[in-house]
Amino acid sequence: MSEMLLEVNHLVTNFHTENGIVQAVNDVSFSIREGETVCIVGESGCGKSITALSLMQLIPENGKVESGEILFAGNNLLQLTKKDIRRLRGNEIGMIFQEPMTSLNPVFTIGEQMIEPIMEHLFLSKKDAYKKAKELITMLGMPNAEKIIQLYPHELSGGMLQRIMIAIALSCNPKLIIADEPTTALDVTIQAQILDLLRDIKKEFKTSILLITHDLGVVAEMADYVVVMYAGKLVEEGPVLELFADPKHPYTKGLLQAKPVIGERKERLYTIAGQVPNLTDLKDGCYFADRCEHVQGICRKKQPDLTDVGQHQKTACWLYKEGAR
Amino acid sequence: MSDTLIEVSNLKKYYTSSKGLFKKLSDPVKAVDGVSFTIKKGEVFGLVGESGSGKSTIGKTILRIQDKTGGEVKYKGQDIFNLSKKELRHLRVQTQLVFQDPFSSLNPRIRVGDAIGEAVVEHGIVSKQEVRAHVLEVMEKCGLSPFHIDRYPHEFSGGQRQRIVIARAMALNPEFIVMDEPVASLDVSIQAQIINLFSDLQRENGLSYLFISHDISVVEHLCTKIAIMYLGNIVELASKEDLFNQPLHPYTKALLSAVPIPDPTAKRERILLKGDIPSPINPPSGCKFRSRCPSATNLCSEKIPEYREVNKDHFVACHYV
Repeated sequence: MSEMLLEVNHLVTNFHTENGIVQAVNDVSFSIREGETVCIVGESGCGKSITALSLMQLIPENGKVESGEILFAGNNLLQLTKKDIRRLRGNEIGMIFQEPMTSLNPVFTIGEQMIEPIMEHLFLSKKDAYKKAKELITMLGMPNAEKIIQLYPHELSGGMLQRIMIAIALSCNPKLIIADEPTTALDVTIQAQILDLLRDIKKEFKTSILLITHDLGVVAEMADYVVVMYAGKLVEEGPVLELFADPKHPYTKGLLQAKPVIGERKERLYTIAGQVPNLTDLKDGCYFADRCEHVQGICRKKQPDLTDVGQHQKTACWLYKEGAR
Repeated sequence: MSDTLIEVSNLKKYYTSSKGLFKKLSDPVKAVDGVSFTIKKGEVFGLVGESGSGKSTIGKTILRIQDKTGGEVKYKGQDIFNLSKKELRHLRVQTQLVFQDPFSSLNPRIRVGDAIGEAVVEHGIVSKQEVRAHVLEVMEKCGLSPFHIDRYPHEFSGGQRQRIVIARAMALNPEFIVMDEPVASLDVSIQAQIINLFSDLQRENGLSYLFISHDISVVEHLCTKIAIMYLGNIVELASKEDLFNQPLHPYTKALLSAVPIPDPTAKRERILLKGDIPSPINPPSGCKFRSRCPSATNLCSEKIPEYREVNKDHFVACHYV
């Protein structure tokens, strides 16, 4: 087994809003090994993105990491100074966002936006940084790098911009890339290209990837390890093969069944009744209880902890707790 | 044929924009460039394509929400661009449109019940006294609770708003609905609820849909007939069975293979397309797909492939099929 790169322990991130405290990330723990791809899956509002932003300490002003530990290569990121964090972003951890169209500044050329972080983080001269930017663009499968460097973001397509974003994230050879829904805004054929590119990068540079997505198809293709989140909680985790072969938590099962799949003709789709609960107004007990088919008395009273089910798989559900029935 | 509801022949829609001080006309964007298909009564017709392929333009043009540039659209045998004002008003009742974004398709200052009932009153579907009962009935059909009737759109989640928009369309008892990416902005679990609602409504009311989507797995689940679009043209059209069992056009094959399958053990033979979708202002000569096609030849750049029937009810536009 390779070394542990990132360990998140009992992370809690809250937002203070007019309607009360929103527990966006509620006691979440997971870890990423070197060269491993971990996927966080869940629906909108379940805390996937905030988990990622908490790692980078980029959460909006009304939010705060209340407690927990984020150990990156042994250091607790939550105890670093602002300056150290700045070094870390880009150098050690690169990030790719969902919307390549809005992630780049429209008034600077692609070249300017690529060269600046390279000079800043790798202490290269402008000339060397320019050379490096050109190499990166070529490496990511875009011909005539020289021309692309002079273009403005609006002159490139979504797929090209996402490649540029990946190039920027890669420019300082980070150990970890956080990709937040990197292909959601792209067309299927372009998505296939970008996913392929991410796989190549992982293979070539042994980069670890934290991939956040709502698409179980993408998870199945990319992940080594999967973390399922619901309403800020981690409800199930496990290696991709085990988790897809034998999902335990009713929410994971529901997600897998609700998605129409090519070649599988069903009369009706399985549905999870109801909707994601309001995070300002959570009840005691399991947050999924109101939508769960297997709900029982205890589910509404007490929250289940993560329990081992199978060799590496864990789930937070009373169905799998000994003596809880 | 009597059971043909909509007949589209060689429909074209070009957008031009004028630039600069002297309003110089730019080259037209050929959003839809000669498309023909028919939708039968009770059919769910799927229109699939990537962004910029002209799906939404077709949806809007066949309802005469916008003008055509060329070609013909017939609704029940009548040319919809040649209707009197009165006839057009009638068409507006029979045909409805559901948009992608339920957040921008509802007026935030109008209560849900009013939004659903307004057109019902306007078109005299039921009398004023009966409107509330009618609205409640439609809401129930669409999975909304009676107490929702006096609420405002902001009080609802995305999935519920989409139900409201569907209820608004259903309230007029239409025969034909164009659904423009109606589930694209919804989460998987909510998406499944809405898709099931579509199937139920369709079956119970004998509706016909034009279902526009970029998600081919959703289209496969819902539709009986599917057309694949690329840069303003239909490249392949067939029944669901034929299209998935025997895709003929290289673009269809690539598109099908690009969809991620939620099964980590599945073996994938992926056809990776190179490059991006070309700009519709300046598409490649000949076959528009040739710049990304893995098996393109010289012929493809010289001659536009004919859109022809290769098997029964299976249409393809490719030289090498």
